[in-house]
Amino acid sequence: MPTQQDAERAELIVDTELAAGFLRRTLETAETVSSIARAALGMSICSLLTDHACAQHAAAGASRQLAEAVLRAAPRDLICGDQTALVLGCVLAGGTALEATAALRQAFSVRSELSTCGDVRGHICASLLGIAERAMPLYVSDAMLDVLMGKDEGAVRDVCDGIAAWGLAPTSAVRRRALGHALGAHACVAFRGKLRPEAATYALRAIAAERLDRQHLRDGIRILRRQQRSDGAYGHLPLRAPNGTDLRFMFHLPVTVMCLWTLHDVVRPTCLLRYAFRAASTAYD
Amino acid sequence: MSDFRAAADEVRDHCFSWLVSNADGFLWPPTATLRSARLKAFGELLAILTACTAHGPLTEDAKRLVAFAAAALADLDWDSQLIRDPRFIVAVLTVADFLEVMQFDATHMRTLARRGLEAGIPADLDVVPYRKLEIEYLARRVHLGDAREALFARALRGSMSALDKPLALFTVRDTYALAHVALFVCDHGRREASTVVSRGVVTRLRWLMQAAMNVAALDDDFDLLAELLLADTVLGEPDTRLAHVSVLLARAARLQAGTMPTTASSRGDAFLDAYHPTLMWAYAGAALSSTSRRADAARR
Repeated sequence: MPTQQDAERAELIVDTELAAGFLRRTLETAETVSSIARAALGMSICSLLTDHACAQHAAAGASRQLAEAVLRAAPRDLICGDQTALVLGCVLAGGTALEATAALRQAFSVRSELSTCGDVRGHICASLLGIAERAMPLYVSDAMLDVLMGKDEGAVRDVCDGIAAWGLAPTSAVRRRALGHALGAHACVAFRGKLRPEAATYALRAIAAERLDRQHLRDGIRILRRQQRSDGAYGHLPLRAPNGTDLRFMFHLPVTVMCLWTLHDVVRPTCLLRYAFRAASTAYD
Repeated sequence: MSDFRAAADEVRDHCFSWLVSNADGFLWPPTATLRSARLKAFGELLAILTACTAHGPLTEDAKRLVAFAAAALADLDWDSQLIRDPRFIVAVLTVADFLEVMQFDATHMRTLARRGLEAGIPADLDVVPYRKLEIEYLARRVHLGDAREALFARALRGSMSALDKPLALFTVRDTYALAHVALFVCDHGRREASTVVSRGVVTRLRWLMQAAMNVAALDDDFDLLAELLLADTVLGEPDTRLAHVSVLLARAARLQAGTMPTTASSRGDAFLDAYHPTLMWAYAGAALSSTSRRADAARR
């Protein structure tokens, strides 16, 4: 007898296949390394979400395209643009992109600041590439909770990405609940204000990574799924937004990848970053 | 803990002081502007003063407001108002409750309320579910609700059903409804929620309250934050850290005039713009201080 969970999973697979169609079409005309990286990362996430052979085959093809683009690119083009998508895309590609990953490692090695904690996403990329140590799990301190009560979106994002990557040190149930609600509030405000949904995605990913609050995740999935367009892409624009094909690369592609990434972290047992860390450490062994 | 209680007392006292100094804003003489809004504000003042009694003795300023309000009641033809607008049943019940709790003569208002309930006014009202819950809650408080248990239960189910959606989809009205549902269920702290609703409902209310409090804090919505804090406190197992931070924020945010800031758009009247968040923080300060005092006593 199919359960509610089975029905939800079936719907999620349909959404994911629709998104994969958008990503495939976008990949056909993508020119920059960043755009190819985002599309390839999105395809990898779709393959992890659906676990279907054809999705895996399509992801493998996209990974090969990414690897070729990385090897063709000048080193300075590799350290600009969407570094996280680039590094994650190559690491998740595994054996298909070994040379490309090595090229990224070389390009990133010259940037010593990536190994420090100041640039959170840079540090995550450097750790994935094996050129920086992983940070320690984070404490749920009063300082962290105060940051989450503030409006510095950059600082909030740093906390969220840090939680997703490095995890949390053991803490009380009361603190975990407070953290879950503090993060959930950011997701709520982002969704409610009809802002771009990616402002909610990193908060939801942090909640998902540590399984802080199931209700916020359930609500988040419900609203996130409504952000998908009929062509499979995610993200909505106001009435007066300009029309043009560059919107696909500048707007819909990055938003689609962030939404798929979030869906993955909510429904899969291990969040994408930690899955990638595991894959990377196996590759370096 | 003593810093928190001192901050809560300070917020309570400064807010009540402003309310006393500006009490005339609650009145509705023929020359006043926005008379309906002032009458509504007056009803809220009575409700809050009554609710404050659930959290210990009233302060001197609160007692001054009680005397002021009791004297103002004679200025309105309550029967006419109820006939003209059946929604006035809420105000009539609120006044009856206030008079009983403050030990004034509530005979006329109770009679008026009873007649309105027996005439079936609540059933005919086209209002949101939590307003119906408010009517049944008040009817119970003035001992006119003995045969109305089923109506209370139905209104509660309707209210909870209206809140059964993701928090991100709540309107401001939904969030106020949420706070009021908890305050009615717990009778402003006079009873445990579990004596009225199931454990599942209590869990859902607690989750919603603490989630909504975080959103209100992010929005700098001090009015909503006060209501949610109160509701979270009366539900039991409150988020004490958020309560502490919120009280300190409220103390810092209190404007030089002694009022709390508001996110609502201006009605062009300084009193009407300021009274609601100030009234709510007066109550919140009193309730949180009292809760803190009781918690300290229990620990010793």
